[in-house]
Amino acid sequence: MKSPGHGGRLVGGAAVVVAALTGLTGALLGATGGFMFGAVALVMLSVLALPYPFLITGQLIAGSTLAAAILLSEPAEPISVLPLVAGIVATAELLALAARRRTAQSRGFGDEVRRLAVAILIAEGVFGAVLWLGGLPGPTGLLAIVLASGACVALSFVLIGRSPSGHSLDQTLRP
Amino acid sequence: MSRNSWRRRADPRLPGYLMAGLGAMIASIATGQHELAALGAPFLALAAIGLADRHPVETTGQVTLPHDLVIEDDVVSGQVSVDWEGEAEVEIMLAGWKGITPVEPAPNIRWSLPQRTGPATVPFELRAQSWGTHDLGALWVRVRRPGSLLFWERKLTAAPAIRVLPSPLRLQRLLRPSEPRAVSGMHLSRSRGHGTDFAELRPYQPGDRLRDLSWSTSARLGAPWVTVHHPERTGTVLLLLDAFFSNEQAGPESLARAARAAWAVASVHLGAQDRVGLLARGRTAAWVPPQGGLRARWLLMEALLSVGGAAEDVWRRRRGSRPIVPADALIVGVTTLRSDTFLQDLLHHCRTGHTVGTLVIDTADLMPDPKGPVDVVARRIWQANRSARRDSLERSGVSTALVTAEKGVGPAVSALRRRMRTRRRIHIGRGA
Repeated sequence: MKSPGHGGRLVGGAAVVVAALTGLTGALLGATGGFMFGAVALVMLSVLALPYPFLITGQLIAGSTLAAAILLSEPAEPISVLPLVAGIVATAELLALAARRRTAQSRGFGDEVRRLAVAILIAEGVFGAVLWLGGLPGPTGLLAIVLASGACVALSFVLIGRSPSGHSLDQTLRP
Repeated sequence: MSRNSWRRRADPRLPGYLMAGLGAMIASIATGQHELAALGAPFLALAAIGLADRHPVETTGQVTLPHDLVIEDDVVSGQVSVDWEGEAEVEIMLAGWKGITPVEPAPNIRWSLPQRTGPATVPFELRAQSWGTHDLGALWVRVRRPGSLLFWERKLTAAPAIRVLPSPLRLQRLLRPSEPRAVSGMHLSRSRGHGTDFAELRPYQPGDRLRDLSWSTSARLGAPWVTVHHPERTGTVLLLLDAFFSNEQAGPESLARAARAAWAVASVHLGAQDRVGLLARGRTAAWVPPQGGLRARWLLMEALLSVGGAAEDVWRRRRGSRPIVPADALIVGVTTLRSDTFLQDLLHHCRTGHTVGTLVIDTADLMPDPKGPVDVVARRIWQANRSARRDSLERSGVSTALVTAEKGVGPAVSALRRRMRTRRRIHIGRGA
């Protein structure tokens, strides 16, 4: 059993490395100053999310915004964003894992590595599949995507519901 | 287990995935670019998968300590056992502890277990940082199904408390007698027999020794009278320890005052070869070793800690559960006068013919500063209530003395001694 913080630092370092590679990929794909700025913002948010896990939300939004901007820019091929999507998801998963490991004594890495790989595969697969569907001729492709995604969103909101009131464990621990 | 007691929380990735996915979808619709929909779809898919299992995991657990009584700076080992149904990731934590320092794991007593089925047992070690009764807080768990973006957290059970006795050095400093002979000869044994201390005069009975005849009294009254003496043997002193403080006040200083007061009485009576007993919980007294020393001090501290942080104890409330007190015992109560049942016990002992004195520990200066007029009035009412209780005891024949922070234990013990002597003289005078 590793001491608390040790695993967190290791995973946090991996998250920063992946975030830096993702930002570099984004900057290379965009190839302009604006994209460079977006890439730096992505890396900065990833670093800040290590002590403040709620910033993982910001990291994901920054990453998706960067990817969307690249997709909307003229020279980029949509499929070239694939590593960027993988990097954004991998960074978020690693940051969440680092947050869990930072304060707790942890056991085992195997499951987390497997789960990370599965999350990246799902993201890549869905991205590729939807991109392929969208490439089908006529408006059917886009309509199908919008309907499917809307169903996903509606389902997510129904499932989330309203969280019961009360103090969380983090609030209890706060001095 | 009530489902309502669980608190559901979202992982920080969940709002991120939803907002990134939703934003991309809206942008896709707005711009007509299907690539943006492809970008948002993975995030929404991950969010949907993370929300698939929304049911809390049934969990049970307990904290076990092999010893709940240790000495300051000792390392205490314990273990946490948690069981849950099915496969889950579990975080276990002891939160809200005071007066201890985690040794393993540190700085938090917290574990993160990977995806597995229960049960799990994790050991921990902590150091007793300061003496007193310390609460180890509560056992919390945070559970999530594998891959879920929702987790459930719950306080499973309260952890046990540990009683930490002061280290030998601190104990010597803490219980240094302030007035070593302050209570010497404070009481005489209620038994009568052969000795040098005068007890009473009574008419001669067959079997009395001739040497006990009081010639002057016999000559004056015209009949043989004998002098009866207190026997030359040790008396019995029983220190009755109250449940002193509410949890907020159960700090080391409050307990130290009570300990100093009790030890001042105990050490002097031990020096005078009296038998000294401590009665805190239960019905029978723990007898202090006659040599005094560290063992006796620790025994006193243990007895104090057993009631020090407790609320008014239940055992006193039960009918017929009054402590067993030797018939010839002098009873000295050490109390803050907060407990009605303790007062009733003192009065009961007084009514049954025991000599009873009470040291009232003043903790008013340990209270936080009043924050407003309501606090000021509340404090006045509390002090008036305490005075009324003292008066009630005095009227019923129980001598009292207040142990204050400024004057310390010595003057209080001396005052108690004087009052008890005066009361005894009055009693003898009335009897004559």
